Amino acid sequence: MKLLYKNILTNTVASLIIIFLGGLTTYYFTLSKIEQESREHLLSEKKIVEEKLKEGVAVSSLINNIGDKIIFKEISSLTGREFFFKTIEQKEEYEASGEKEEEEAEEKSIFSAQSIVFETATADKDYRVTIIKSFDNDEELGKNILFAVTLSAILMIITIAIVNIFIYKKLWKPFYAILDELRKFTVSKNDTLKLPETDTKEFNYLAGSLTTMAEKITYDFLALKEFTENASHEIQTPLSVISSKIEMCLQDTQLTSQQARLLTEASHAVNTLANLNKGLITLTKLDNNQVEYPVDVNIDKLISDRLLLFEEFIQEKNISVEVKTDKTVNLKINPLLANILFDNLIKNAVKHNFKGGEMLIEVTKDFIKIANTGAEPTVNTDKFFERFYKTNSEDSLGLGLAITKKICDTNALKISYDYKEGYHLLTITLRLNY
Amino acid sequence: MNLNILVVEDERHLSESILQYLAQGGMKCRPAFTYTEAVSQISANVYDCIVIDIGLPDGSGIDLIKYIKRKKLGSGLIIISAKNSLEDKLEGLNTGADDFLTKPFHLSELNARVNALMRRKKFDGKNTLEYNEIKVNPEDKNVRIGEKKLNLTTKEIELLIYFISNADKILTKDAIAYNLWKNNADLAISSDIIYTHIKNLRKKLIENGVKDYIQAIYGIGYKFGE
Repeated sequence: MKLLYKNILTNTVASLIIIFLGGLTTYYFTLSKIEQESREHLLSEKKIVEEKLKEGVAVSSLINNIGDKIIFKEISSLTGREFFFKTIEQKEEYEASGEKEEEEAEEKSIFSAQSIVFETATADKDYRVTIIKSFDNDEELGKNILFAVTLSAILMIITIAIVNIFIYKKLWKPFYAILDELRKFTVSKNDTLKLPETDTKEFNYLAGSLTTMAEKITYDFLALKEFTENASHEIQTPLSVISSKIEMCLQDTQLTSQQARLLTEASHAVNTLANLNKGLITLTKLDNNQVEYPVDVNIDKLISDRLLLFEEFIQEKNISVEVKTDKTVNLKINPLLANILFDNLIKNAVKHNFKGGEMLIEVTKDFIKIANTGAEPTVNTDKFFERFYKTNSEDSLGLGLAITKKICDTNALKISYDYKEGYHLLTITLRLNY
Repeated sequence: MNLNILVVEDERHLSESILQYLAQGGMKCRPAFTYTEAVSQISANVYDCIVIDIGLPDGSGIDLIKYIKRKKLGSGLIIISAKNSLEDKLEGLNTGADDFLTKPFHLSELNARVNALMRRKKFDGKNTLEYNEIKVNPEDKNVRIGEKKLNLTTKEIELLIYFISNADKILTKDAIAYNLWKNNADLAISSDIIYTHIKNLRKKLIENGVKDYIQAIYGIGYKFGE
C-alpha cells in the first residue's frame, strides 16, 4: 500500500472515531443544557403561579397563560411534599400527565417534555399543580446534530485527503528523487552517488547517510575486488613452482615407478587446483559484474562453432547430435562469456552422456534447450547450480554449472534444469533478452 | 636447435626449472630476475627468444616488450602470466608478444611453444622438425618417413610435434591433454581419447616402418624416445 493511502486511511479512521464521540458528547451535552434551562424556566413559572394565586387570580385564568400546559388538581389537604421535576416521554403521557404516578415516566430515557409538580394553596382550595414545558422537538435536534457532525466529518476527510496528497506530492518529492538516484547507482561501475540537496532536514540527513554508506560500500567493494584478484593471482605463482618442480622430478631416471605415480597424482591435483582457481576468478568477475562489452552474438553460428571443438569427444562417445536452430536468433552478450556458456553446456551434455547416446539442441526465439541422454541424477537437482555441488563424477570441479548460471544471471537469462524420460534438459529462457 | 633464450621471471624457483628444462632440450638459457636485469641482458647479448613474466618487481613485462619492440631486436617473445584475463592477453599480444601462456603451465608446453615459435621465426615456417627417420613439416601438416608421406589426422600431427619437441621427456596425461585440447583438457582426461589418439599414431608409425618410439608408462603418461 502506498504511503499516501496508508496515511489517508489512518487519518480517516481516527477522524471518524473522534467525530462520532464528539457528536455523541455534543448531543447529550446540548440535551442536558436544554433540560437545565427548562427546569429553571419551570421554577420561575412556579413562582409566577404561586404569586398570582396569592394575589387572588383565578385558577381558570392561569390555565392558558402558563407553560405549554398547566394542570390544577384539587387535593384534600397539602401533603407537605417538596416540588419535583418529572420528565414526560410520550404524547399520551404528555396529555395525561398529572394523573399518573411519577415512577412510570422515569423509566423512559428519552424525554421530550419537562414538568414540575408542586403543591400550593389558595385561599379556599389546595392544589397539586403540574406545569409542563415541552422542548423544542428533540428529534429535530438529533437530526440537526447528526447533519452537522456528518457534514464536518465529510469536510474533514476531504481536507485530510487533499492535505495528504499535497504533502505526498510536495514534501516527499525529494525522497523520491533520492530513491531514483539510488536505483541508478551501481557499485561495480565505479560511479559516485550524487544525491539532490533538499530543504528538508530529514531528507538531507538521509542523503548524507546514504552517501557515506555508498562511499564505504564502493571502497569495500574495490578493496575486496583487489584482494580477490590478487589472492587468486598470487596463488598461481606458487602453483606453477609446484607444477614445474614435479615435472622436473618426473624426468629423473632414478625414480621408481611407484614414486613417479605418486608425483603424477600430485601433479594432477595441482592442475585441478589451478583450474579451480581460474574458475573462481571467472566467477568473481561475474559476481562483480566486471564483464561488459556485450555484442550481438548469433546463436546458430556460435553453437556450430563450439560444437566443432567437441567433435572428437562426441565421436569418441558415438553421440548422435541433432541441432534445430532458428538462424535469426541473436543474443546480446560478451562473446567470451557466450563461449564459456555454450562450452559448459555442451561439455556437460557430452560428459554426462552414455556411449551411443543422444544430444539435442533446440533454439527458438523464446528459448535455448539442450537435452542429452544420461543416467538419472541420484542427488538433489535443486542444488545443481550451486558452487562446488558435485554429482558422482570425480573429475567435476563443481563450478561449471555455477558459472553457467552466473553468466545467465548477469545477462538477464533464466536457466532451469529438468530430468525427463531419460533426458537431462537444460533450458535457457530468452524472452528477457533479444 | 642452438638457440639463445632469456627467461625473465622473478620467481627464482620457477625460473630455475624453466632454465633446466629448456637447457635439456639443447637451448642456451640465461635468467633475468628483474626488469633492469633483463634490459642489461638484452643490450649485452642477442636472444632468439625471450620468455617474459608480466609481473616483475621493478616494472611490467608489457613495458619490457615495448622496449624490445622499440629496439627492433627481433627476438621471439612469449609471455608467461599469472593473470589469464583477456585484457592482459590482448594487451600482451597487441604490444607485439608472439605467444601467451597462463601460469601454472607445463614445462613441456612452454618448451613446445618456444620450439614452435623459433621454427616460425627463424625459418619462416619452412623448417621441418626431424626425429631420426621422421620428418614433420608443421606448416603444411605434412609427415614423411623417408620419401613416404604419412596420412595422419590433425590431432595426430599435433601430438607428434609435441612428442618430438619434448623427446625423451616423460609427459603426463594432463600435459598432453592440455597441449591438444586446451580448455577442454578435463574432458580429454576423463575419457579414453588420449589413449585412442596415441594408439592410432603409434600404429600408423609402426606400419610405416618407424621404430616404436612411444612408450606408455603405466599410471603416469607417455615418453617419446629411444
